[in-house]
Amino acid sequence: MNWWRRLRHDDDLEMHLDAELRDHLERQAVDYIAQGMSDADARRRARLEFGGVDQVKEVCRDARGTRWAIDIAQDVRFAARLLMKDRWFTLAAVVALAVGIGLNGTMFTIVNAMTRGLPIEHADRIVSIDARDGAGHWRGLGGSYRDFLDFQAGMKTVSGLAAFSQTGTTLGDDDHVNEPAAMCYVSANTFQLLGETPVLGRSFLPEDDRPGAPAIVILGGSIWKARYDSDPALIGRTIRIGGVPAIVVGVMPDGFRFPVLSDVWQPLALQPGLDSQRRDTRALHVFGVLADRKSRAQAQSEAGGIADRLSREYPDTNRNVGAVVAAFPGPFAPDPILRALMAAVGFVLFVASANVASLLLARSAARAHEMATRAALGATRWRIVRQLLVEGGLLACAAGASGLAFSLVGVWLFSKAVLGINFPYYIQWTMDRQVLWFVAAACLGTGCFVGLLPALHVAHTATHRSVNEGGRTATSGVDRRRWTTALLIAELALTLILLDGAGLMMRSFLAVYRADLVVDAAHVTAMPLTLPRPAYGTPSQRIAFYETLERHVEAIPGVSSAAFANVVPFSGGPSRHLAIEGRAFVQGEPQPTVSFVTVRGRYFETLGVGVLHGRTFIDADGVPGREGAIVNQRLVTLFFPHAAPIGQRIRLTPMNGPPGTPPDWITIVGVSPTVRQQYFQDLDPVVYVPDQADVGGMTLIVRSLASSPGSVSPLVRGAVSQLDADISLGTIRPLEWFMTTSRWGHRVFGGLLTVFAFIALALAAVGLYAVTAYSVVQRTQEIGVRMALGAQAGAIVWLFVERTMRPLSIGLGIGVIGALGMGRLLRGFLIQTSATDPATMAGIAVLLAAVCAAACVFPARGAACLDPLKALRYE
Amino acid sequence: MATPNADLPQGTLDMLILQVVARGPIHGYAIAQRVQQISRDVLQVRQGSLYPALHRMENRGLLAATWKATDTGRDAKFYRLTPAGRAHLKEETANWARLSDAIRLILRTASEGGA
Repeated sequence: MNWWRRLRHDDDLEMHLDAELRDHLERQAVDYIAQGMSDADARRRARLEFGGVDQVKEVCRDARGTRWAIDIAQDVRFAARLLMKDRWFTLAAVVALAVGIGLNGTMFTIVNAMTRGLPIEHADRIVSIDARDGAGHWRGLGGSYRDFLDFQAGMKTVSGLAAFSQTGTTLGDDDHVNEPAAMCYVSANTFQLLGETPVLGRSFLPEDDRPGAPAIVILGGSIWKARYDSDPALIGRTIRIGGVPAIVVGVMPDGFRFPVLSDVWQPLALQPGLDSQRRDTRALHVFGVLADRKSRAQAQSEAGGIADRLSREYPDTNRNVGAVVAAFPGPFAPDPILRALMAAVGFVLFVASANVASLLLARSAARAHEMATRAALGATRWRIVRQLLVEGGLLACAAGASGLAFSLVGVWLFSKAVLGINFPYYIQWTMDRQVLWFVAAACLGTGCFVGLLPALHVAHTATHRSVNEGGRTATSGVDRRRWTTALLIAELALTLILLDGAGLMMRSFLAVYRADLVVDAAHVTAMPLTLPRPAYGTPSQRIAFYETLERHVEAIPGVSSAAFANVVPFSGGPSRHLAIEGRAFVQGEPQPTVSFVTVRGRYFETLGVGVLHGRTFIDADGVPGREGAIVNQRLVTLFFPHAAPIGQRIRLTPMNGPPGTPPDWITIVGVSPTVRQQYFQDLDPVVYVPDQADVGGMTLIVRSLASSPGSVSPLVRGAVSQLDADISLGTIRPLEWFMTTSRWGHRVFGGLLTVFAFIALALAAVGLYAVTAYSVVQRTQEIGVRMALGAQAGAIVWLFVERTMRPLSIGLGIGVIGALGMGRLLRGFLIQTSATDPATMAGIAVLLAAVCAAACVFPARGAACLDPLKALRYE
Repeated sequence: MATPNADLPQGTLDMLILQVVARGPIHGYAIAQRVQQISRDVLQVRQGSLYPALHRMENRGLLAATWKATDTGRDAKFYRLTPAGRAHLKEETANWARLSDAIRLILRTASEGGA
């Protein structure tokens, strides 16, 4: 009979055991009778010889090996009965813990989705290789084509090295209207390294990726379905990519949109001008798969060696340029934010657990009598402790199950809240095995925590003194009160830290929001535009196109003004090092960094901001010898706090710039209001310069008249295709979209932090309320005595409020120190807000104190309203 | 010199029981009697330790048990050896023989050396 069956048929076994031993005694007795004994004597003799039947039975039961399981089952049944009896207590405890575990599950799912990388096997073996300058300031610089070829030839620690670059393009063919598409040039081995194969046709081959190879293209599954009706005959047909014919050779699976949200892929060799690119045109992303048994550190040292060799061989372009091997793709959200959020949910769970632990602790004191009785009847200390641990575990399991359900809801709500944000294709808000493990671990930890504290307390006291103490409830352990106070202090401190973090993020969000009000975004639309290289290879060709297009667009009725910029406001963009004429660069300090935007046309008018000082650009600006720039107010505040900026000269050097002749000085001709360029960081200084040659494509920004009926976008689209049918505008979006999207980090992460903080606050308040209410009940008699002796209601209330003062002040003290740490963690994301902002801290301390006072005064007032006679008789 | 009612060395009770059961299905009381009989009353098996040992070996799969009617008309639990039990017995017996040989050898050489 195996263990399980023994466990299941315990009753049968018990019956058989009894029958077997009885049979033995009978037989022995029969033998003695046969030897001539009397019936009674024979039985007595047999029994005496056998020894204690019950002891033998006990040892036989132990031999089954199911003893502990049966005991635990008994404990579980007992605990379940107890929890069912205290239905409201159980419900409150389970809900509190479920909220805690649920938030942890939700947050972990989100963090896990953002950090787990590509949805392929061995995702953790994929690394990116980026360039960085000697000072190590800049990562993610990308690689140049020539460097890539050298790394590809030299790296032995990776089993393959691929490169890609993203762009926008226009999809065209004879049967459909042209359509914009996100496109990616990939080296031929890219799909193979990722382990992805086309669902139709073939993948890229090495011979496709050579100069002069025929133009081919692989399409994404969604385009194939939507545009080509899932037509398998598409393979082999010729379509136009940016006006250039290319043969469709394959279709990738639906949902595969490497590297971010691309739908069209071509071999890297087809990228125009790639072959003639200089070593310092670092526009490629390079990634590889670590070879077997090679670590990232080994790859790093090898890549560093190659970078050193290249900087010796090509000092003009590669001096001081190193290599960084990092996980690919990097985490989607900044690490400190994710850490702050994980800490936040951890705190909430701690506050919830601490509450439940103090409730169980209070109840364990009330059960001292029960424990003492059990101990007196022979229960070991371990058995009693185990009973309490089982109770905690049971609560945690119930909370874990509901917590998992909460997390599902939480993840669903989160995915709804971030619906408009373009996450890379590999970020899917799904739970995987890791999430389940995490939730299970959270349950286990919670169960131990909430069960262990009362258990330790009982183990400490139950066995030796409560038989005497048990009868009266008035004097229950000092120990217990010390524990409760310690838990309360921890709860209050953690709540303060959370509230402070939330406060800082919310203030930042408001600061961004206020700052963005300068832009009149209501009627402004952004339309990305990529000029196909063959037809627009020279700067003069491109400039001519832009000038014509600007004229045509501004002639459209309803359009108030049009402009071009290399990047839309609020959407990031390139950065440059800033130098100011007449100011020495301080050695050792990081060189100041500014955002760098090239504009064309009436940019500031179109955004509705105008200029504060000086003038806007005129056509003469930007021609060699007359370099002019407009800077934003933020730059003036940071770098010209005391001097007039107009007329000053500045110089912008590329972040990865090769040493050599520095670029020309540029004169500041105007100051514009601060329009953010970067997102999820403090307001950035921006330098605007007139566009001279456009290398990376421009975005057309159009302001329409408030009175114009309907959208002007179709008319603009028409104007573009009228000029050149092979050019189409990318996704047209209102400027407001960029504005709100750029705030999503603060909105979502700050919002989450605020939700967590308020849940912690509510839990802490409920905990304090319960502790006070409990001590009111415990001290009812004492209150009766005091009132009989003439104590006023105020004095009775003060009795309880006073006892909260100490934990509150200690909790606030510790909390403030912790909040400084939280501020440090969030420092990089605070906007116009100091990490140690005293106003936020003070406001939050006052809020916390007020909530605590309320949570404490309410039950205490109940005590003051007691009838002294009843209170005296209370038992 | 063995004294009457000597305690059994650790682990030998199991072996003795297996040895007795090896001769055919038998119930607990009879095992106790038989062990006493064959060891000529030198070894007294306390019934208190007989049954736990039987149950332990049953749970380990060395013994199997069935309830059967006996000649007296009462049902009794009969134990018999499983193949695993037979193998175990063989192994234990061999071990025991080796051990007692070794001890005998040591005692003999020790007493010769002392003489």
